[in-house]
Amino acid sequence: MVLSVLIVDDSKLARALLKKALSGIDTIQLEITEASDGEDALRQCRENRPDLLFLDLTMPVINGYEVLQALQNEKIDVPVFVVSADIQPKAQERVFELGAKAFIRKNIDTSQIEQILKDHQVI
Amino acid sequence: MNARMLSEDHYEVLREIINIGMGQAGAALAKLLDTFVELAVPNVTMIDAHQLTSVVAEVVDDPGEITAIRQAFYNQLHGEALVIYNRQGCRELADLLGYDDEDIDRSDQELLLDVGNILVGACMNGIAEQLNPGHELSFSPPSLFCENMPPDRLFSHHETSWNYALLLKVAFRLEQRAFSSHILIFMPEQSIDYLIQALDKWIEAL
Repeated sequence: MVLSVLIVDDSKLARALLKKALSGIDTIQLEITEASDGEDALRQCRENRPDLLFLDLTMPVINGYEVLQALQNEKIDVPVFVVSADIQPKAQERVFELGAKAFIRKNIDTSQIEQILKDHQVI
Repeated sequence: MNARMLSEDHYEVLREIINIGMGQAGAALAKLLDTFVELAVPNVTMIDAHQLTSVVAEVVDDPGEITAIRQAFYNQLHGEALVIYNRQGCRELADLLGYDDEDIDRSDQELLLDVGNILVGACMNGIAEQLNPGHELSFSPPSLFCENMPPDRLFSHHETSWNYALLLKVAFRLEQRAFSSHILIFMPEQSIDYLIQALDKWIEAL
């Protein structure tokens, strides 16, 4: 099974760290694409409908909250896992209200991400 | 080795590390005020001492007067942080914390010092922990750097102990409130060697 995954973060490093963590999971085959801002993320979601979206919150131009809101408005049904350093409880409440499946605190390693994907029955 | 040797990879790692420190500071502020804190994308740049005034002026939304708290941090990583409040900052903070007008007059400075202390502590400890797990910073007591002063007068009588420094900028806003705050963290050239070594370890582990 091949899972198409879109990683959205304005930090190249953050995207690389998440890719590294995901690549350590040997039970799934991933096809990973990236976006460095919310606008590109929305475009890719509209055109390609990834199986899974990892989304940062604090980004320039269109932030993660706005991406979640747009996905909801446009009824684009992509499971979103928010990956953020913004750890305030109200941020978590807000992303769940906007339809996110999970909130993942930066930085995450392979065993943690594998467990979260299992918990959400992605793998 | 000097500060000018930071590579684009160093900056990339540092931005992500600041992001984590800023997240911790934002969470501390959100907890204190029981409200949602909007975080801005952090910024890191190298500045010369003579750029101090323009750096502060750039972050201030209101071109009028600002109030700032100053706090030093030290250990292997050392430098100074300025917490800058906009004109409405203090009154907004007092309102959120349920102070009445009489309390505000009495404890303006105390409030700003306490909030500044929380923000700098959470942010810098977050950054230090990411740079080197187990690394603990020490902090000077926060002090009032200026009160209701135009940015261009801030440094007119202030001698810096450094020629150039790495400047880390983070910003917070409160939703539907006039409160905003910026933290400017200055890490002078004497701090850069340690920083580069710590960042290199990060890069090697990627």
